[in-house]
Amino acid sequence: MNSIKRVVLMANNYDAVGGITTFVKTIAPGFRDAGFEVEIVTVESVYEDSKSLFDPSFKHRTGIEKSMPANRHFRRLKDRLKPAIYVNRFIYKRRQREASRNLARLYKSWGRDTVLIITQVYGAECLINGGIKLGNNKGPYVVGMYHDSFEEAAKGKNIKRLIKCFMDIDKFLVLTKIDADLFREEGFTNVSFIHNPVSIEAPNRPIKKDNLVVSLGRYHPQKSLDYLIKAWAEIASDFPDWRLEMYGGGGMQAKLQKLIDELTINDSARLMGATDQVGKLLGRSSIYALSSQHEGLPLAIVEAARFNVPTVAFDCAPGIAELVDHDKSGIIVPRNNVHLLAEGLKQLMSNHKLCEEMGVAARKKSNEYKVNTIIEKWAGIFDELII
Amino acid sequence: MSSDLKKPFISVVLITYNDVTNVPTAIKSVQNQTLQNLEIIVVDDCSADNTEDVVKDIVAADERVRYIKRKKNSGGCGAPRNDGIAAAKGEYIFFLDSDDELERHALKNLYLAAIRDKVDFVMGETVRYNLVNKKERAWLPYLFKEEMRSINIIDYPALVDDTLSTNKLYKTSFLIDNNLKFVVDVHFEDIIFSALVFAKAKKITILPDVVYIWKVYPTAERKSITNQRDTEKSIRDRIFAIKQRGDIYSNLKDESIMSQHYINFLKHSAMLYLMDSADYTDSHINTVIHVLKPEVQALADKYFDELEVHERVIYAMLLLEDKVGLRELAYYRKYKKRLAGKFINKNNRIYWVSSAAKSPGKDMRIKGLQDVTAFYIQQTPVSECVYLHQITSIKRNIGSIEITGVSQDPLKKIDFNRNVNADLIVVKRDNKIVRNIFPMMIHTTGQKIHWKVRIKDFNFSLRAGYGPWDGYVRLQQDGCTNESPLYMNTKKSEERLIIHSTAPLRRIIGIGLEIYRTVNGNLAFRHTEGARRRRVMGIYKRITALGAKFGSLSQRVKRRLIERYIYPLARKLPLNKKLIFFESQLGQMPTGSPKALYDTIVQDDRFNAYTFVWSANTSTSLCDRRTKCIKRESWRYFWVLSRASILIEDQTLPYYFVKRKGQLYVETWHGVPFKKMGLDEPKIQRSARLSRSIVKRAKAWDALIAPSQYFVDTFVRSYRYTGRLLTQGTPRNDQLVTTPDTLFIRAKLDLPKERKIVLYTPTFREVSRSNGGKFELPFDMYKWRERLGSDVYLLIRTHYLNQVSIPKRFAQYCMNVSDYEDINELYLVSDLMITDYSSTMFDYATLKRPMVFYAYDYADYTQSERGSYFDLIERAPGSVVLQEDDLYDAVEKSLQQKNISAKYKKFLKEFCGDEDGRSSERIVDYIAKKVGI
Repeated sequence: MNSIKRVVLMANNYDAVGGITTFVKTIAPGFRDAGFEVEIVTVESVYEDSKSLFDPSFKHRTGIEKSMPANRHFRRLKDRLKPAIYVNRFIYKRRQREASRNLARLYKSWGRDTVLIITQVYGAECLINGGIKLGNNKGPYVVGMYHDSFEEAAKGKNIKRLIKCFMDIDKFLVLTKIDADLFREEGFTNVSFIHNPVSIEAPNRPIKKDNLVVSLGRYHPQKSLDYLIKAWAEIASDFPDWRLEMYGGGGMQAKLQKLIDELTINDSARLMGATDQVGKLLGRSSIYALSSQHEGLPLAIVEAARFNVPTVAFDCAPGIAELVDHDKSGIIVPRNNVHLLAEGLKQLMSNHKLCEEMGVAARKKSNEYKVNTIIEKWAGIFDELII
Repeated sequence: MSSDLKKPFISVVLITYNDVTNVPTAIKSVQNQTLQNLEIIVVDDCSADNTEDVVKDIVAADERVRYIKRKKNSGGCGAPRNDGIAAAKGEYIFFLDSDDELERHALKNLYLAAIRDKVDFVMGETVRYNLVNKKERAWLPYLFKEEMRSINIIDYPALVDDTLSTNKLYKTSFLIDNNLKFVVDVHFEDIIFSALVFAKAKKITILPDVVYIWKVYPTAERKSITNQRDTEKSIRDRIFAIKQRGDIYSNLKDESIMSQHYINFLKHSAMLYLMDSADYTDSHINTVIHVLKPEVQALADKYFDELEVHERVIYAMLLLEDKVGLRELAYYRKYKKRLAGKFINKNNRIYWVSSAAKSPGKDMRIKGLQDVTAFYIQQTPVSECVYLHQITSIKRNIGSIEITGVSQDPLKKIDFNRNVNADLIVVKRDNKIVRNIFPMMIHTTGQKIHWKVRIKDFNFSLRAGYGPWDGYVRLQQDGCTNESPLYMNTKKSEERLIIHSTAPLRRIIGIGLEIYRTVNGNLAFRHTEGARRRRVMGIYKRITALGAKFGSLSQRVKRRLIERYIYPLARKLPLNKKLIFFESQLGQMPTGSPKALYDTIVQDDRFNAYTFVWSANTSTSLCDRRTKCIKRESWRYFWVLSRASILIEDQTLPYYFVKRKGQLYVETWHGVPFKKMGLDEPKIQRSARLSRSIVKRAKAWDALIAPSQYFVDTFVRSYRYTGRLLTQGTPRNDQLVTTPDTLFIRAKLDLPKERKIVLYTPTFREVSRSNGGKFELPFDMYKWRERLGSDVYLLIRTHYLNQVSIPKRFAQYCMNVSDYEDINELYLVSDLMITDYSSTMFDYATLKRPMVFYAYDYADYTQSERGSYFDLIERAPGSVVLQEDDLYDAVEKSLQQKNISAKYKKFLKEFCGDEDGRSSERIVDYIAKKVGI
């Protein structure tokens, strides 16, 4: 019986901002500290630029040392007349072929002592393009991941891609038990779930909290901050010394600002733009608010919980119920119900002790997401792979 | 450390006999399992081919494989498997047949569940994989709907139905300690073995995952032992095995398990042989009767009570030894409910007898089994019956093909002594609009109807696509229509009958249609195979695929051309002052308020000189001297839109419509809003572009029909409409007030006279892919049948964007009327309406009849982003039920209500407005005045 020596993490690229890159950057040191040799492989990367981001304790490899051209889709009728798009398509196809070849070659160099974790299905598609058949007992063990809910996959094309690439591999991991059950009903006999780790650490000394409700959602229709703003408008006058600060960035900033102006809550509600001081910010917040339309497993809730911050959120995904114990470590309200969201916020804002208690419960719950705990779960999955 | 020093987790016992082509595939599927610590024991039942050499090569390459050859062939699966059990070293055992395969993750899933739950065995789902059409079908899916951990068969008696031994992972010690072995010298040993293991196991686990792939080979190629039903020994062996099973289960002393055992025998095992009577010879059926009759006779009455009505009659035929009856019932059960035989009325009870019999059996028990009174079969509407049209001969003449046959009408729904219209209709399967019609000649003799039809000049358009065509016999009388397929028995299907195309080019290429028999026994046509034709069809398909790719492009180009150039130019031409344009439901059907206004205008003398254009793609009944039908967004459509002087429609025109000076645009709208609309909808609020288009649309209207103040407060405000409001009622509801009697509608639909009619109109629902895109009924038809079936006939009309399909077994309780043109007639004929959030509630309320609101997804609905204008539970003019069980109570109670409640009156007053039946007249007066006539 072999044992696993090496873990390879495969993602599309290294510079995109988002959950996948955060996941790779958080889990890689965890595997390294547990004694595995860790390699990070990306499909594309602008090597020279990203090299500065690389951590020398991992081997970094890439399918192609260039980035895939972005402007290559025919979105409107006019685009068919633009030669630039045809050129980009040609370049894209060539680069994808080269990336697929290189990745296939890398794949063949790994053996039964390696686990390949494919975090995004595009990587699997490239391997298949390069001639690799993913469902066999030679070569590395293959684990695929999908970082969104089943509902989202079923709405678009992703479910078909997942069925094509991930049904025969050794294990397919999703984020929550409910999503795993839905995928199982769809025909995946190798599916299970595992949480993503959160590495942000709160200092051990007691934290001084301001009367601050914070949101870290992007200014994007999916995060639908307009509901939060409307809920705030209902209660702002009852709590004159509280503030609502929304950090992020995105296209809807102007619209949201207009809404704030219309509701005349400018002095208490503010769009703060982007921030890189998430830790300090969460340190001084009292409540975290989430009013999205749909989510996968929003780890921002866990990050807030590390700082003793309870969450008030819409019930917009199976992940919310997994992350928040209603009435114990936060409050969950029916989706799109502005009034109940306002009530939830009010309940915590008016009762300081309750807020603190929930914060402590949230912190305790968030221990499940510490890197060490998650690595232990991965070790359990590895044990099941090699029998 | 080499792996054979370590004990394998699982021993896979693979049995084979003379199957050298498939053995390597089966072994590979085990070698490719994600669980690797296993051993494979190939037990060869003394094969005569070179299985030994092939397997020994595999053994040499993989140390996990072992080969055992029996000295003498045992003739069955039992002895080889027992040898495997004895030789197994693994902690668990799994059986595999050499012509099947394992799913890749099967053994690991089963193993992990077994050690987690510490059970005697774990079972997973089997799928039957058809190698010819590459389709998979689950076997006994109802047993594997969800994971069940650590249960016993007493907790779940349905497990009696599972007679496979190959979908289970057994703990070796469980088999050995209890001395559980396969019976030798008998076929169907699986039935006995599975009964043994279920009876002995203390705890088992069921996984919903697929583990075993049972491959189905084309019938000519191979027939496995258990599929060869032809011999008497086979039937006797199966009966023996089932009796053994009965003995084993009787030791458990559990009534539900014994009941399941006998019912499984009656419904499945015995039924399998009885259904063969449709297609097998008389002597075969005699054997079946001979073997089965004593077994069935010995069973207690209570087991027959659990069978469906038609299954009971089948057993009556068995006990009477009536072969004709068995054959006719096989047509019913096996081939989609085709009705044959006779119904006899005696002492107020209805009995079914075969065409060969004159009266029901004398024996009390047999007579009881033939009693079909509770089936209400007489009350099936004509359109839902399935007639048995049997083809007796197909003759090929020069230039044509002649088909003759015979039909039965046991329910006597159609009077063949009077004028009946009979045609053969050949319909393209995937595009039901393309049809060929051939008239039939019929004459009756006694109980049967003989018909003859000649097919010539068959025009099968290649443009319609490549798929098959189905044949139906259409019978029409007094406005009632029935379309039923033709039945072709298996012997006829062995000859090849080809219709050649009449077009010379196609004759040269060799394209023709071949008559064949579908799986359900129906007559159908498909294109002939042939090398020349294949090449040409290949090229044709590639061209059409390319065409389709550019098709969407060309649609956009066409639209752009129309929008930018053609339509604006057409608008410069003078208006046609005598042209009126009508449209309803986005050009689908001529219904609703525009149709009501059209009917009034057509008869009004003031509009004598006018011509009318309907945007509708189906109806031809409207077209006459003054009225034309055109398709929405065709070239002519824009021509009319740019030149008509009066436009009447009820939803919306294409986004680039521009109203000209001098055009009168009357908007009737198609319902009263419940869900938030227009600028109240969050999705539209968020998009500036959509908001602008909504307001622009409303500005084009010259007059809007507003039936009530509520409509003004919601719809008018949300569209920011500030023009003229017509507040004199709703044209489409006039018919509801003015129609005096509804009997003619009942006759048209042929609804049973004794029952009340209930109409169910659910609103639009998003459908999931897994369901095939069909709307799923939110209640169980079996429960409905039980609770309300005898008193009520259900009409189901889904939203026009949804589709639903109702199985024919409910035809005497329920009918799908989603395609029925006139919804007012459906309102008028029904005594009660069930709905949820549909705007039909406002129209139906005009009739002041009871309503029930079945809002089973109320929680999701209220949580959705869109929201509604008022709370249904608070204001609904009838009971609101959220659970299925409450639905039946509510319907029963509401049907007995005599008067409407105060809440209902309030609802009417507030939301619906007053209807006095003369609203069309008033609106036509308004139009006439505006136009100046």
